[in-house]
Amino acid sequence: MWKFVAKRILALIPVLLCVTFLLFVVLSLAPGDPARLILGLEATEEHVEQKREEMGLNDPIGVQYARYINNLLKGDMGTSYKNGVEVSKEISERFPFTLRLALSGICVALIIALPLGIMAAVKQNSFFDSFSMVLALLGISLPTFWLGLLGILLFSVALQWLPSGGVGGIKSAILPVLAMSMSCLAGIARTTRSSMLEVIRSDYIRTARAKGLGYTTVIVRHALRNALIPTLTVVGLQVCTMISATVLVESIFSWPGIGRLLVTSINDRDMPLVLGCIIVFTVCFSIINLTIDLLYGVVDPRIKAQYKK
Amino acid sequence: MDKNNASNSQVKKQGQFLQIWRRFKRRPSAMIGLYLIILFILIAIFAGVLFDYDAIAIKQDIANRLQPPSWEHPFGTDDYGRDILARVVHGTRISIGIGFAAVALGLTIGTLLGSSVGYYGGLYDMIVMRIVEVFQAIPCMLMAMIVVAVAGANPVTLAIALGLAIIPTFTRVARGAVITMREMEYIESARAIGSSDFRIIFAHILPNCFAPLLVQSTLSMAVSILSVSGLSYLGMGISPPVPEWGSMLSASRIYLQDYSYMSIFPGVAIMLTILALNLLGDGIRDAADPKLK
Repeated sequence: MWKFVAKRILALIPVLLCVTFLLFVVLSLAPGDPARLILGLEATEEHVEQKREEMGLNDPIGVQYARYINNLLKGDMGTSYKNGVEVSKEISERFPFTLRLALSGICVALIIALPLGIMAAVKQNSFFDSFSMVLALLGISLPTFWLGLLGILLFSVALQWLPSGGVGGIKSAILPVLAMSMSCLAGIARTTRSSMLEVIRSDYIRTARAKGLGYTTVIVRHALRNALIPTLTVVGLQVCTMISATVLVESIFSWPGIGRLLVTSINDRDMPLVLGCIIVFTVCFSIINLTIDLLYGVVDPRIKAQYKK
Repeated sequence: MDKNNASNSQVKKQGQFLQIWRRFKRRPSAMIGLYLIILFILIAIFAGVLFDYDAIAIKQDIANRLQPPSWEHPFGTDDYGRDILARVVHGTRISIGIGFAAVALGLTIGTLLGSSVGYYGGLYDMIVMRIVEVFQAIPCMLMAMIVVAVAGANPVTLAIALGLAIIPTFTRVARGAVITMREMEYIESARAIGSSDFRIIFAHILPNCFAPLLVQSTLSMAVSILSVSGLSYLGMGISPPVPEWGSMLSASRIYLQDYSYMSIFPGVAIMLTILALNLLGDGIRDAADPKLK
């Protein structure tokens, strides 16, 4: 098991290197001269050229990249063009806010979606089933940012129950978490239902029922375990989508996480910050994918056996 | 008996496409999705006939600003006095247009890449899939953000950015489908009579993979349309005065308190489009794989 984890983490390194290289090259093509950006429009041409030389912008892209990675390994992600703040400092200040939002979002989605999907499958074609699946369909069709706007409209403007943005206590997190987790929740519920339906009809479930086990036991102990495998795949995808939706949600609710940082830094053309934020996002996605792969092993002993090889 | 045989062979001759279509037709939700999508496509095509772009959707009319929905302006007017209905109708053009363009790009390149790596396998497969993995590590929305930051935001770059971002998904779907087909007997017999690889892939394998690819197309189109409106909402996509649903919602934000109708209709338009695509995708998936229902 640990060998598998180690192997997977090692396999991540080339992917991350490629991703950062790709981003580095693409972002260096962005219009605008960083030296000019730092010095301002009044600076003379010689000054700008001197600054470019100082920043190493005249070096070949490969050299620049190697230097970036070298610094990255030391924990230095460069400094912001805009205000000279260290990128790593800025990100470590902002990241906990995003993490809080994302973790609550994942919890809310899983706690509601799994029982909902299972219940809908167990009571297939009942009113509860159709009703919750229509809601789930609406859930995956609602754009995150519109849901956020509607939430503000209803709970902040009309009812004045919840703040429309900012950070302060648990109340301020309710709307962002709900807006963010809705489509994730709906997607997971739909998959849980359909994979559960497939499992419930299989022979071994009938056998388990026939030998006299209670319905709940059969569903929870026998059916759920198999139904969870396709569900896990979707949970991974949905959680990744949800985390990239922080970009929208944090901007709507003025939440000071890295999603909003990414948006402002793209608007400011502040490339070191953009690169830093995207690297953090990419690492998050890789960790999620790794977690999902490990959970496959927990759920399915056949897969676990493969890991041991 | 004879009659039975005859009808059986007829069913076989109908081919997979017709069979799926017949099952698709029987599902009301799938048909609603199809009708909605056709409606949106028609609206996109005839937007110019319904409302003149320059005179109604773009031209400012300050005297008429912030009018609530009325008979004359069913969706009301925005902060520049433009009819919101006309802008939502013209917004269809942008969303549907970019959605189709992105999917066309992603589907073509992804299918070509995926089916060739699935068919040939080996080192080629391994290298391409590693590259796909790298691209897939960055989600669609963020990828589009980066491309837009570098290449500037306009409908063409957006469509290309989103198209590039969804190539990996199509590559995976096509590869998976081709791998399951590759070892089938009819492919072996095609090879035995000397069909070229090109012919085997395009005439024998791909037509049998159309269902998963079509389902993925509807999903990817939904993702593209959501991304375009999301980016425009953040001010990184289509910028005003061009009527785009996301940027209309973004502009409506400061009027949320007093003119909330402004933030309703563009959102409903996005939701209906995505809903239609989801219904269509679900319908095709269930029709292609009837064992589930």
